[in-house]
Amino acid sequence: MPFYGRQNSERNVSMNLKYTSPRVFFPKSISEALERNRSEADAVFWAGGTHLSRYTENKTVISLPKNVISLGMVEELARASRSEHSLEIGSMMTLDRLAAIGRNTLPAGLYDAIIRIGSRPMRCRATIGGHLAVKDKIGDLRPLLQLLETTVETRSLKERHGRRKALSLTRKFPIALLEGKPGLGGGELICRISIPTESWDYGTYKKIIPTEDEERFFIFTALARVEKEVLTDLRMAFSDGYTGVLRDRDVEVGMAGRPLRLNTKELESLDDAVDTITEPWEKRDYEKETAKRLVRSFMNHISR
Amino acid sequence: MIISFFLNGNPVEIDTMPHHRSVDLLRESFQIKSIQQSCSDALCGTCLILMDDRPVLSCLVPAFELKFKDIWTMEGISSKKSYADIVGGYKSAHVQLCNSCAPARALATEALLRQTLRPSAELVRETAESVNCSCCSTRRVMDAILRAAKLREKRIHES
Repeated sequence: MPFYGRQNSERNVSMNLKYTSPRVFFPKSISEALERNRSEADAVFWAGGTHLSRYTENKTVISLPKNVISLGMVEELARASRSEHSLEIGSMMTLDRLAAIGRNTLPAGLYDAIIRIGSRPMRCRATIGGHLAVKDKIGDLRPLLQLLETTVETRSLKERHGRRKALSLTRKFPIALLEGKPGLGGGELICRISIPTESWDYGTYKKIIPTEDEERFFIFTALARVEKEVLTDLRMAFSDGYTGVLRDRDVEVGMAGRPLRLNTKELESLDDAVDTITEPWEKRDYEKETAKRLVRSFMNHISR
Repeated sequence: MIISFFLNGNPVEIDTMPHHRSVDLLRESFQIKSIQQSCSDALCGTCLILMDDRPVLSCLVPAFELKFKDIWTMEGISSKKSYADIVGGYKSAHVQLCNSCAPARALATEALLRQTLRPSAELVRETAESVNCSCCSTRRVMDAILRAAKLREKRIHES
């Protein structure tokens, strides 16, 4: 016989009228989740909920949309597998589990990036899918995943004129396309993330928080391959969480083939390139200067 | 919404609003007073509970997420024999925790010991940093966690 807790549906909560009680659905499969989303037009998919929960000021309740589709019981979204060239992970995999299973298999820098997100209890709730789906902020892992050429697989339902049953659509695209338009469509559910596991000789991930304000930060991440003291492949990106993932493929291609260590002239032209890449960070001299220093430090590191 | 789950090993059920924060629900409806509701912003860690053996912050968990989950709090783990390992570990490391963070630190340690008895230095550090309190240093808490792991391992081998 289960123990019944004191009922408190109306207690504190009734005082917070703007936080109306949501309806919560618990689908057991992806297709069930999509069907539910189709029938409840304003419904929102719920993964770990860390983003939504953190930004509610009320101490008693969490401000939720009217209809919530909890994905916690969709087993197929929590699976992971490894192929020869990539790690395939379901979108409901928590960052903690991803760090645990990928400790020795994740590409350089990615493990460090994951364990720097929040505290462990936060990572035990936060999911990779939720991390990528947040619209008003670029997740900390996005720049590095973009450099690694990670792809995202989504599923959605498309109405067919005159038919009762909707058509199931699967879309697979590079993670960079999550940014801007078209981005993630309404009713589109991130199902799988495919992270290439090809090896990189060097990888770095730095998150700099210049002040006490944790919302003001920037990320520098880079990958490099070096063969016989020649830089054969370089990728680098910057992000401040809001103004996009800043990257210049032409600069990266231009650096390939250069012998290490770079001479003063090459380093200065790289400084200029970083200046141009970080142009959207207007009037943020500290960030721009630090970005240059981090790039120099990375180049120094791979030249050893 | 009626939510059924396991609390400290016992099946429980409650009719509540689905968006109710679990920290408030557990404190008010189930009299779990060991968890603190301080920041509600995932900063302090004093509302830590074990959900399916993983440490999570109950201020971030809406009530509907408790459905069918196995929840453990200090009230539950402290009634078990194995709790002596955690107490012994902290005692032998001469760590005296304050009332505010002690339950959360004990739960974080228990979560780690349920996962592995030979944790890496990184996991130990992460466990020590799960709770943000200035009553003692991270280094000393790390030492206490390692001692607790040794005691747990010894007890398991002996039994």
